[in-house]
Amino acid sequence: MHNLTLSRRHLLSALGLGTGAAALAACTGPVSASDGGSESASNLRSDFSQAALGEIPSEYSGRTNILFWAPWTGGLFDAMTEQFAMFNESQSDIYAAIESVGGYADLNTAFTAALQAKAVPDMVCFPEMQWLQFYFAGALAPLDPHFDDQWNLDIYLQNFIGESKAGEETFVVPFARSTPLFYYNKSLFNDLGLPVDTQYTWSQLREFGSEIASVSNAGQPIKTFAYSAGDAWFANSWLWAFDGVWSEGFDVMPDEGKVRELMTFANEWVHVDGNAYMAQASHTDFQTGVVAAVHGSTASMRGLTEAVDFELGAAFMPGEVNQPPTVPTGGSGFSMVRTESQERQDATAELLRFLARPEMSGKWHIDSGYVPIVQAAQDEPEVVELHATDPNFTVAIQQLENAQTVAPVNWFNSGTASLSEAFARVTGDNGDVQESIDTLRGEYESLLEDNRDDLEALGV
Amino acid sequence: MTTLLQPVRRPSRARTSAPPRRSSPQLRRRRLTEAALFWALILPNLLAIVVFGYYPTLYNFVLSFTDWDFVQPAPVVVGLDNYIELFQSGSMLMDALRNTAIFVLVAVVGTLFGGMAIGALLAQRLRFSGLVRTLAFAPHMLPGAAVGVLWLFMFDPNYGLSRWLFSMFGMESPHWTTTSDFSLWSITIAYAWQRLGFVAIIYYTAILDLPKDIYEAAALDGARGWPLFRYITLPLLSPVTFFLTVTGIIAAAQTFDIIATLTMGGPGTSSTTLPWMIYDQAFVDFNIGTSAATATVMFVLLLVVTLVQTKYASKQVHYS
Repeated sequence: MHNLTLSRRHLLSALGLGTGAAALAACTGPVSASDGGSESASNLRSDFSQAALGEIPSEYSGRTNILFWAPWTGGLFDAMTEQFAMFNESQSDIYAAIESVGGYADLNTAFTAALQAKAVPDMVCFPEMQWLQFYFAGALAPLDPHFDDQWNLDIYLQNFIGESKAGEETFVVPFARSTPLFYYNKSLFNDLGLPVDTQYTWSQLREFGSEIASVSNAGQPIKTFAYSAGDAWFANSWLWAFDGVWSEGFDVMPDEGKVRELMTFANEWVHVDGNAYMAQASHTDFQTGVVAAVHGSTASMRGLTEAVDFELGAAFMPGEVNQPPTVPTGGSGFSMVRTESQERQDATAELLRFLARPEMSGKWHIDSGYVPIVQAAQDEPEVVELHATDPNFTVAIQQLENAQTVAPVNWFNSGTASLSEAFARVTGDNGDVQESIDTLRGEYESLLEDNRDDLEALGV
Repeated sequence: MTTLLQPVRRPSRARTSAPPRRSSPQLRRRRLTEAALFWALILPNLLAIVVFGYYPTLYNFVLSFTDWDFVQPAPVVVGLDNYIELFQSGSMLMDALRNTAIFVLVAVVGTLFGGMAIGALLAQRLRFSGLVRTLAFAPHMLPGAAVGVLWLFMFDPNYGLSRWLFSMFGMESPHWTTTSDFSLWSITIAYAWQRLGFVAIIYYTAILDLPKDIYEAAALDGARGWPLFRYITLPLLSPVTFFLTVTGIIAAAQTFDIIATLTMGGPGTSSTTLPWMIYDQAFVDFNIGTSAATATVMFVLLLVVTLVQTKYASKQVHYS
């Protein structure tokens, strides 16, 4: 038995090494830059199949099944699920399944993994310009062949369609689109005699600080404004208000003085005045009355309206040098994934066409607060009624004329992460402003350089 | 008596002059059956280890010499560039290494001391010790994400437990998760709280299993209190302490979920540990090569730490 044990151990060792070597040999062979990444002009990819669909309800069996990975949870996902149910009931050929994968970052990760596994959904929904990296990887199918007189880019709000195209082709139709808004406790502002329903400036809000702090909530002076850890999107509007830009072409922060002014303002508001702060959960603090104002997406409108027990105020983003400031377009749009099936792509196009009906777009606007992205949706009776009864919803639409796509450096996930970190250092840590700018500049420049070829191909 | 102390000499096979016996068919059948059983039992595990252990590790090592964003069809070989970049001054790796070292050291040492103290108390079999045992072990049963969310509320400076605690002393609660001064401590506290119960229960059962005769002999010699603990209990517990130290270091160094829910590695890189950096590089920045190189560095570090511990254990750990 002793000999047998030894031989087994040796055998196991040898096998371990052998299989390890085999595993190494089986790794995907890295390639040089010249032989990777070739793309086909076709809208189909023979080796990309559909990801697992889950159980299909018996009443929808026998239909063409398509799968959408939704980047929403909670109320937004419920609202979207309702639209899918309406689509499935509206016809008898297609069954559209919807699965929540979490948020935008989760979708990014999940879809990236799916591309490696070559088992993908038929439809995805990426924020702003983040679909570009998947376009460059040849993962998305053009939508133009499916357009007709009823469904094409002309029916949408035109501020947002610039983010839909690469070259001459369309890869995104806008859907859950938004802009940032300034939300404030209107009841508190009224009680203190502060102006309401107006265009604020950041300096003006800073001046309100001592007056707002004279009121306490649960034994603490109420703060004026809450920054948070992921403020990159809003920071586009902040800098536009201070008359600066984050990048121009490949030139990062061409006027650094404006950036310094903005960051110094934020730093002093928090660490000198003490009337603003870095919040752990800014909207929770706002709902509970700890802070008088926050910023948020138009998509937060429905949730905040229902959550607060005071009168909610919604205004354009605060200005400073520029009033009102330019605001970034935000939210996401639908893209069709290149798979092996023309039939499923046609079915996906039918779903997109259905969701672009004015009544569906209007319903989504009412249920979520996202802008009514189909122009005709603003004339839907339910939308007209909503705006008559709750003018906050109208603010978002009025601000649309100031909306603009963000600077290329903030098209990328890592760019927005760097910007958020820079502000977190200044507002949360009382970090040195110039040091934060220098760090951000380095990260921005490296990002633009890494993506130079792709960006130049897009005309940046 | 002397004959009893002489070693027993077994007959050596080499010295026997009998020819080697040919195994009988029954013996061969038995060996064959044993071998078949061996393979049947070992193969599923071996496959699992190869597929989920060796292959990813080796693939990661290969990827560490490439540049890839995970989206393009294939990686591009860049040699040692990722490693050179990692070890340049100002690299995130240095922050991550420092944070990981502090986090692991405080969490492991803290839980060992705390767990041993709680375990020793539980072994006293006081009233309600059963309930206390259950309560102490409960956090270990919670998923890390749940622990993170729980502590997110407790650390909240506006309405968390932290606010109440500090207000008792007329102080304002620190902003635990949103300032660099406290973010690393917030994840360390949350992690140590989760692990403490597990360590305490292991020590508790180990203390119950300690040989009674040694304690009876020590009592006869008048040993009690701290000397008894220092010279009898602690050495007897050394195998358990060694096990908890090795597993504790490996587990703490791999912590991810609590960081993801509490601080997301920030502000800046103030609570970025190696696992968070690996995630951040791979799934935020999509620098798969850098991420893989960081993972390789972490693998080597843990390997070295474990080897040092094992070598130390052979000298200092008493198994009997």
